[in-house]
Amino acid sequence: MAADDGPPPAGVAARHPRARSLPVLVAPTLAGETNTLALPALPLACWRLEAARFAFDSSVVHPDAEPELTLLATMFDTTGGAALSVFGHADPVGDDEYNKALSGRRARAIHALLVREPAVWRDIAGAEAWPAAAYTMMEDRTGLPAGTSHDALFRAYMDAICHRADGTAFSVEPTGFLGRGADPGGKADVQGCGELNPILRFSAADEQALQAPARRTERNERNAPNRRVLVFLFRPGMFVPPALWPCPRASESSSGCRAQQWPDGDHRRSAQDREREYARDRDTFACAFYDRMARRSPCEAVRKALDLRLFSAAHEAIPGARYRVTAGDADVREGTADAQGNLHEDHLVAPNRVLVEWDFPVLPGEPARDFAFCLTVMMDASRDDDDDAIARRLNNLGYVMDALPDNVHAFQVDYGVTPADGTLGAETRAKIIQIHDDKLARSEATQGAR
Amino acid sequence: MGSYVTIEPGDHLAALADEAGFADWHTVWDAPENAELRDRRKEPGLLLAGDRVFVPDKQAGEGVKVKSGTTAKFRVKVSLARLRVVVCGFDGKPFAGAACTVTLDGAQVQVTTGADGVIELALPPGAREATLETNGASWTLKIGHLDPVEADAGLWARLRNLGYLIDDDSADTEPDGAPDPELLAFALELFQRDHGLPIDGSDAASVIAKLKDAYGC
Repeated sequence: MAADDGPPPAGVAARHPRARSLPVLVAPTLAGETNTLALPALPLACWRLEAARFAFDSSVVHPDAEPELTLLATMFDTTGGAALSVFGHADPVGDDEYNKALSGRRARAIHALLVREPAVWRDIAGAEAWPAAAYTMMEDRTGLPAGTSHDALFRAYMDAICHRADGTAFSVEPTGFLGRGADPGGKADVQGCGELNPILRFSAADEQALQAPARRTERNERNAPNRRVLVFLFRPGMFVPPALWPCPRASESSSGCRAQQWPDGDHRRSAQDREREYARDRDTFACAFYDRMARRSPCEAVRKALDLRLFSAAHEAIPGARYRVTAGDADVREGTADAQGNLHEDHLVAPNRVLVEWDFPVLPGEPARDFAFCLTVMMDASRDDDDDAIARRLNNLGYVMDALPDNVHAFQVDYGVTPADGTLGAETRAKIIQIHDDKLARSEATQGAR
Repeated sequence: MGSYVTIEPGDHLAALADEAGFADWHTVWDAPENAELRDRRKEPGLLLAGDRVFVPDKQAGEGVKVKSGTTAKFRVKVSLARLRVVVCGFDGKPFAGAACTVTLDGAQVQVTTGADGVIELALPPGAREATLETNGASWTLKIGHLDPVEADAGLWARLRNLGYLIDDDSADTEPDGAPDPELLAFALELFQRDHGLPIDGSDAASVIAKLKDAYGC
């Protein structure tokens, strides 16, 4: 589907790669041998709420978070009642402490929403001075009259936007979090990471250019993927005593995060000579503890648009081709290409590879059939220009033979590059990059405010 | 006389001694024929598959004469095998007071970790497997399967047990249990960070030594 009526599908709930349950090999203790076993810090699943679901610079949760909260409810039920932990993140613009506090408040707002604790919202509303419009919005959504007490309004609004797919209430007991609510400050249950862990970091040149006041809006839009609230879902029953949890409380300063950072954490999270993405480069998070949990999380990828032209085996575009795009378990889309055979999908929460399957349209009266063609598209192909990256681009363009020279040759023939000798000369290289990058893997910012 | 036994995965000295009829594994370990092995392996609990262990013949003792109609007390000094585990939290620090359920040799026991996160149990000589459940985690322990840290498999197992290396199903694992190289390097980096070593994802000798220390054998 190219068209999309509602807001972009900004939230995501997805399973992490399943941990393989290997037996634990241990030594018998004959002469003092000790075995050390640590609780596995691998979440079963994750859920991401984009900052677009919050009001600008505040923790007011918009009503359009509703479908995403339903995704969380479904994932929570699928895992059999996982132990949750909430992490708020800010973008790299602005002051560390300010961002730590804002991301902490947003994480607390989501935690309070899940446990139905209006008092926390009252507290945050005071700290952020929520405008009258926030209350009006909640009155509109709940149908409660103006002047309803804030606690009653918050509670009704929480119920209205946070429910299961079948409409039944979705809430989580305070003991349903990783720290089981044992710490009044929510240790292990809810934390703000501030700007320590961006999933997208501009190049230093872009960072510089985007500081111009005229480009501030663009900068904020491009930074949107970094502003997010993550919930990690751990094994049901998992419990971490607050004293064993390394993160500071959501309301505490970021100094408590220091001990968990990579020694070069500040370098990792800073703008460098090229643009980097966590899902590909793996080196943008300052916090090693968070890095460990998020390493293969499908929720920590930047969204991408995918544009492809779907061809038949005879290299002719297929108008109205039926297709299916699979970007991990979380995101499977089916649709129909346009009259030129173009596929366009927005906001793919892509890991690095996306499976695209397609076929001719099914004519009236024809039986349904499987897809005849498929291609694994590498979403991260468009940054570098080394031979590997060129090979990935050729793959994405449908040149999928084993040997690179064969693919180069076929490309040269198709695009009239001479001599068509299968070698990667400068002209061929440039042409491949141009054709591919015009068509594919455009990085895209979701809309939204700070 | 006696004979040499080649260690297979999962064999351990206490079980081997038990099978040969020795209550105390020292009888096997301390045999002069095993001097080279002792020198090479240092820790009797960590033998590598392929190691050759000399198992002496069981010799009848000279016997003890006891007068009929009297009661005699005998004290036998035997070093029994034990199973010692430190349970750690997410942060890798010892988890004190963690309630654990251990199933060993068919018997289920409830134990609580001490202030140092340690539980220690007597290990029946024939026990090769145990389960340990605590705080939502459940582990199947293969006793005697841990290789020395110098062996690749020993390195991987320690990184796994310490929670640094978490294999997942996103990549095929090699038949010999080798982890995804990217995850292995990441595990080494995390370990290096926690122990103040230069972070390069390598398994240099300094890393191996530190890992042995951190794991406890």
